[in-house]
Order: sequence, then C-alpha cells, then structure tokens
Amino acid sequence: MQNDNKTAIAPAGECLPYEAEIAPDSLARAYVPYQKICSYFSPSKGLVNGTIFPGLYKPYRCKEA
Amino acid sequence: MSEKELLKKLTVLDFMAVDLQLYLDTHPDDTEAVEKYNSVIKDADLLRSQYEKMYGPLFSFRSYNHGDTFKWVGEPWPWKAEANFNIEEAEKEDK
Repeated sequence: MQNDNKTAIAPAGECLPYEAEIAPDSLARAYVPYQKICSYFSPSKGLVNGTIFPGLYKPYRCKEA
Repeated sequence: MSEKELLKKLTVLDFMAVDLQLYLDTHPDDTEAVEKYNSVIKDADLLRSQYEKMYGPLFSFRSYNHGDTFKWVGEPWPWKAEANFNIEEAEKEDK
C-alpha cells in the first residue's frame, strides 16, 4: 500500500493508540490525532506514571551526555 | 489487608476512574471503555465500603457512619500523613 505520508502505519500486529488517517488541510493549523485505546497500564503503575494510557506516557529523560 | 494497602488499592482505582472519565468525555460511545469504567467503579465501591467499615469514613457527607458516635471528626484529617500512604513505597512494591 503506497504510504501517502498522511497515514500513520502501525508496526505489524501492533495497535496504534491514535487515529491513523490524519489529513492536515492547511498551513498553520495544528492537529492532535484522536486517541484510541490499545491497552492500559496496571492500576498501580497508572497512578505512579500519572496516566493509565501507555500512549500518553512521555517522561522527559535527559540524554546521557 | 492493612489500612494503607487497602487505601492504596482504592486510590489507584479512583485514579483510573478519573482517567477513564477524561477519556470518555471525548469518546462517550467507546463501549469498551465504558465497560472498563463500570468495572473500575464497581471494584472501587467494594473496596471503599470495606475500608470504611474497618477504618472509618472517607467522606464527611456520604459515608455510612459505623457506630453511634460521629466518626468523621475523630479520624486523622485527610491531608495528614498518617491518613495517606507514601507513593514512593507504593512504587517500590510494584517493581
């Protein structure tokens, strides 16, 4: 399938936690893709991580110099 | 189960319910997420009534009062350390 770089492709078998068909229709308009649920963190991990959705867990880790 | 363990399990479920609610605000038709929300609420309510029976009320205005004196005033205030659990320790337990 030719990828028109507008559609995100999930690696085989994996679930993409957001809608794939994103069609930005103009300049200067930010677009946040719609969330889809693939999985949940365990309840206790969710509290510690601050979210129960792995797709939203983005800790800032400083790169080793 | 100790008070702190029960409180932690309850807090964890309540956190999950809040996160699910935020998701359901924008995805009200996601039936799977609604089912997950309902099961979390059911589990949390079960733990909550167990906790309140054993250790005292968690709400000043919607908890059953076990005993003939008003337990709310006697409990440690909710913001006191002894009324809560330490999240770092909780994190270690999950490792």
